[in-house]
Parts: sequence; C-alpha cells; structure tokens
Amino acid sequence: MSRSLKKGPYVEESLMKKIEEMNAKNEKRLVKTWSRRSTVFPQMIGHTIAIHDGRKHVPIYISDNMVGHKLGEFVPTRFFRGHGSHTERSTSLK
Amino acid sequence: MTLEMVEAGVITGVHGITGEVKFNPQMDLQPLQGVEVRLIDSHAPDRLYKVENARPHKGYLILKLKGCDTRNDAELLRGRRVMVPPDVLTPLVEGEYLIDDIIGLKVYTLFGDFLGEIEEVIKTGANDVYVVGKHLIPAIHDVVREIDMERRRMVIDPLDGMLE
Repeated sequence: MSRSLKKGPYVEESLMKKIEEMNAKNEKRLVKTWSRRSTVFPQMIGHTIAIHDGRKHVPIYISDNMVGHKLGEFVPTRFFRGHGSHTERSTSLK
Repeated sequence: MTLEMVEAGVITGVHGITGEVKFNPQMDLQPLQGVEVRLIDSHAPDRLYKVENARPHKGYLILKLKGCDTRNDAELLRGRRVMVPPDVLTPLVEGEYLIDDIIGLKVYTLFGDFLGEIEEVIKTGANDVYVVGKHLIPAIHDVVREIDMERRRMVIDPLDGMLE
C-alpha cells in the first residue's frame, strides 16, 4: 500500500533543515545521514550527501534524475565481490 | 598494440555439443572473431586459443575456440579466465578509466596533503566512490580536480566535512 498523498513524501526533518540552511547560505559541504528512507527533494540537487550503508557513510552526489527516489536506493548495503579478479570499466566523473 | 593482455571475463560453462563455451565478459568488447585469446587457470598452464566464432546469447557470449571441438573439451575450460589483447577493448572515452588503472593512484589535496592510495572503487547507484584508507572520495567533478595517469596521482578538492 502506497503512502497517503495527503502526507506528501517523507524526508527526515533534520536533513532537510541542513539542506535548506546550505541553500540559503549558498554553500556546499558534506551532510551525513542515516536516513535511507528519506525522499530526494529538488532542493537537494547539487549537494553531496553521505548516506549510511550500515557500516560507513558513502558520499553520493544528488542529480536531478534522482528526485522522488529514496536515498537508500543509491547505496547498496550488500556487496558481491565475485570470485577471482575482474577488470571492470569505471564510469567517468559525474 | 602492447603485448600485455587484459583480463576480460571468465568462462562460466559450456554450450551445446560442438565444443562451444559460455563466456561472461566483464567489459565492452569489439567482435572477437579471429582474435587470439589466452585462457588462464591456477591449476593448468596458460594456453592460447583462436576464436573461430563469437555470438551473443542471453547476456553472455558463446565462443567457438579452435581445437575445442567436443563438449568434453569445453568442460575442461570451465572456470578459466579469458585474457584478450587490449586492442579488442572498446576504446575508453575521455574521462573514463579502467578500475585497474585507477587503483593505486596517489591522492593529494589541492594543498598538497597526501591522503593515501586508492584501494578500491565502489559502484553505487549514482557516482562511483574511491576508497582511500578510511576516506571515501566521490568520483564527481566538484571533488576530483585532476587525474594524472602518467604520474599516477589524483588531486582532489575535498568538501567541508569530507575528511573527518
């Protein structure tokens, strides 16, 4: 069952407050959060948020196509490291 | 072309009864027909094979290797890693790097402080993240200012709070 439209999308209040403060001052710094369930809001675009994966905070740059998704979707909590070594292609800088 | 071959994936199984093998490539490759590949395994000597035919199948490549003509021959190749010549790899676009090349780069801040070497690259749903000791560096233009492959160094401009 989806969340009631009346409530609007969920976002951790303290996280949103920090983002709004940074936007007001036009500054950028890394914001740590444990709130994987928070929705990505348009105000967050261009900021880098360190999202907890259960062990460490992984820095994620928020872009416009991430709006509406949950923060936790972008940081996996489990890693399959594979068998043997593989050479893989790295993506370019974003 | 350099003589050094690059690991491109692993043979995960066999296909059919004519000695074809199922190859799981880990990188984008150009057509492999006629290319000589080296199969390596810790339990057997390396061996060169010429690829007679290669075709895509359900996300894998089905390879027909010269000299491997029966299913029994193909079974012996299961689990072997496939090394290919570097000119078979799809060329990297500007600003794109192989993870193997990124690992080991020395990372400095704009002020010249040495942070350590890149130990691992984490793939996330968004940007890649470079692991430098206890620090996690997002692979974004705002932070990574310079990558110098010849001098094996990377210069970053850390965000406030990133190196705490």
